[in-house]
Amino acid sequence: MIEFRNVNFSYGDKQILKDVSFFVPDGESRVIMGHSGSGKSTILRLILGLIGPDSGDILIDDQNICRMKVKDLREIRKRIGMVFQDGALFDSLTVGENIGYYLLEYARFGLPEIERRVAEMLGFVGLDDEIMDHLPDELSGGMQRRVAIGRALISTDPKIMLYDEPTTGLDPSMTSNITSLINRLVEVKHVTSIVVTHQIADAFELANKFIVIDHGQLIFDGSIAQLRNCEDERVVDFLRPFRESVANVKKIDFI
Amino acid sequence: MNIFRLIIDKLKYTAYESQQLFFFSLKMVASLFGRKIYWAETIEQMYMTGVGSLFLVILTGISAGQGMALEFSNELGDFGAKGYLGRVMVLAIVRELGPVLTGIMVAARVAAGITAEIGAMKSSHQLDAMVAFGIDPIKKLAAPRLIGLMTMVPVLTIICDVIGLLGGWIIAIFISNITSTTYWVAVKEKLIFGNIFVGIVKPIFFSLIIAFVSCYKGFMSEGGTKGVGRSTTESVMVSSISILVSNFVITKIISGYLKGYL
Repeated sequence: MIEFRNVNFSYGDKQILKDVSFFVPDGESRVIMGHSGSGKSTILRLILGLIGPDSGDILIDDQNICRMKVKDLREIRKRIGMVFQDGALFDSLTVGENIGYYLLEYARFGLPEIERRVAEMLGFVGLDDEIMDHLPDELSGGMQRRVAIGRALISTDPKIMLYDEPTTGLDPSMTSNITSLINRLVEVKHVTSIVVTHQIADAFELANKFIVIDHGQLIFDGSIAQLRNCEDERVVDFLRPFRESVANVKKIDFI
Repeated sequence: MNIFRLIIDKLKYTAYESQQLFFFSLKMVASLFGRKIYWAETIEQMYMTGVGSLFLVILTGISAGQGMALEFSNELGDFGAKGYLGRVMVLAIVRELGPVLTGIMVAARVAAGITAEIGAMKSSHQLDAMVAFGIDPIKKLAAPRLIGLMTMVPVLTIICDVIGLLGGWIIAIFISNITSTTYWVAVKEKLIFGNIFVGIVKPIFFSLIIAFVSCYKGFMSEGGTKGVGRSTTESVMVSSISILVSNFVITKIISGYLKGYL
């Protein structure tokens, strides 16, 4: 479960988030939408504790991470998987070392077992284990994104998955693969997912509950039906270019 | 905006950066302790710093040694004191030039590499990914580099000293017409504990400066690839200047306060 209570955050003089509150129960998915620079990615960084809020509270499984020691925060992070924008793969390590990074770091198993798990994870994210010795630079953008998802998943079997623009810059076929993979994770592993995107068409493939952020303010939090009927001018303005997508979206029934 | 305002702003920024660097350095030192030690990364850094800089240090040592020996032997010759060449060489190479030249060479080569590598990792969110895995990037990246520099810079300095003295010996026997025995006896006379101590203490300080500054600049790098480039330049510049300034301060402290003991 993830809860934001009146969270404010600023970089220097610029206020990025203004009094943001929302709640995501266990096993649910939420898509955070908004224009570039609206503060979407900041929410993910706050959840992960990479940055701290100026005021307000952030609760992960009823634990307030804002007043937590670094050591305890590390334990919380082990329950969270994060797929960064552009993957953020370790570029000097091979695909296999990237996916097995957590296991190698914490030495939970021997090398053969780690290799077996890495190969299994590559299969789960739809990649061939032949690429295990490739460097990330040798892969396409979509493959890198899948490796990043695999790396996040293999860590500790996370209860929460955070995705920062997982489909940005990918072609339609690769986008479809990534959205299917994210949905499969919710179905199979029942992880709580938060997906940040400004790709509206993809957003409706990923969840049936949405948050819209505009200039750091949460201006909408609700279902697709509520989104369709929302009369807030800022929400209407944001969705205007995608009116057709909103009207045509089918109810997603895996949640 | 007037010039005074600019100067005050610059001074404020420098004070702020110094404070940040100080706290970051404390974190780096603290990261050396604790259960987890990244041995593989530490050995890799020792290799990259030590073996990677070896050729550069040898080249610098031999050039500096020969150049100094040539100048000194000419001057000493005017006073009929060529036999003292070895003594002067020890003072010049072991106490001053060896540590400073090695420090600056390592700062140019290794500090630039450290800042660029960590800065690039930061700009591509690899450091965030590490934190997301519950890994402390300072312990994982900075601590091995600190150990690598602390162990290898003194070793490289000793090599530079030996090569510098050998360079002086070549000049002594082939150009200055001093016998090997005269040269090495003079060298031995000045290779006392005090001089060796000064020659070892300085590189340890310099290695700390290089490690703290280069890692700090890497971790604080902002502004994408351009920012990484800027941080790398600053890293080499600050390290080199700090080495030269601290060399003077250490020499002053030692010659002023510890002269009787060394």
